[in-house]
Amino acid sequence: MIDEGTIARKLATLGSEKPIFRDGARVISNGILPSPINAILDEIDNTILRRKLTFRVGASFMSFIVAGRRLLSLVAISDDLTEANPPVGEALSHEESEAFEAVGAALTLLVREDHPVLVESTPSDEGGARSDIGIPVDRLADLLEVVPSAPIKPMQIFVEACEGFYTACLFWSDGLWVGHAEDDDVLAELRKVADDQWERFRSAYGKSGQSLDAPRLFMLERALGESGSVAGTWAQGEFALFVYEPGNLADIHAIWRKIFTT
Amino acid sequence: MVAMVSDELDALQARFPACETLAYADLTTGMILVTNSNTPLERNALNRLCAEASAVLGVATAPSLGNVAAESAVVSGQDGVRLFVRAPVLPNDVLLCVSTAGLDLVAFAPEAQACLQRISEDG
Repeated sequence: MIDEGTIARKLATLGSEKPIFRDGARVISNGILPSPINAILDEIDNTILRRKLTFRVGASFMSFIVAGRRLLSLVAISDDLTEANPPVGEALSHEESEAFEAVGAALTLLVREDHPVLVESTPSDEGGARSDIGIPVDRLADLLEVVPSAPIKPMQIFVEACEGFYTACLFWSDGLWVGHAEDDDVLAELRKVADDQWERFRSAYGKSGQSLDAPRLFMLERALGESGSVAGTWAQGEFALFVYEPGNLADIHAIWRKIFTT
Repeated sequence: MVAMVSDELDALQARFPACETLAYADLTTGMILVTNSNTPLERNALNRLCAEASAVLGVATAPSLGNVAAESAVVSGQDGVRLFVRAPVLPNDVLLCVSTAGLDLVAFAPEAQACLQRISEDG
């Protein structure tokens, strides 16, 4: 339902916020944003000094020695990923195509589900493989066919993912409300909310001591009476408003949390 | 009356442990009247919670979003989930719930509504 193909590399959706840790490991993707493979590539891209990076998705993991934005060696891997047959404890190089592709295949297996990705970064005390060749992160991105510079559009992803759960939608982007609905009367009601109430609502919310920067979802049941309920959300300067049937609250809420929280 | 309300809130919290704070409040005065007995929130945090509910729901005669007073509101963020439920007969009486993301909203909402109705009507 959520089209990961529209999500690009280096999504900084959560990057500007305080890091979140689980069991001592840092959460680098909630499974959707940034896309898991982008989050892993970014982590490698940000590693200059020699470190051991362990990427975990559920019970699956891969541990690499990384330096100079390169994978130098794979030092540990969970059993469920070994079917890709990547070399463990050997120097890696993008010039060794079989090993290179096996590492790529194992990483693809690691992120096969939309689950959160965690990373542990520790000093490297591995005495094994040492190489100044390694697999550069850009070569890895090419192998995995990751697009480096597509735009970041989490709100658009949210709106698209909720398409089956609202009856009218307004999406604020580039200074305009863009809307669609099957029933023009319901859309007109929602436009009135957007034009007359939305800014006042945000102002009042900010004055109540709450952040206007952190992503938020509001769902007001039966706020349009017989026409339905109203949901409003903001994140990174973008807004969306929905009219929805009360029975769809849980689905919309679950999609929002999947995209905007870790 | 306070003891009865507190018992009601404690009983609801016992059924939904993901919900850490339950507070009965009056939006017209902006005051928290009673909370569950083991809420981790201090007075300032409770006051801020009440202010947030007022901003989100608006008072009954002036809804914040929409053209009628919403029956309830869910606010979701990285910091968890909050549910604000309005009493049907006295719509400025509200139940404020602060929860982790693990709360089953579909199961919880009607129980919270019923709990508030008992509290509000007895008050």
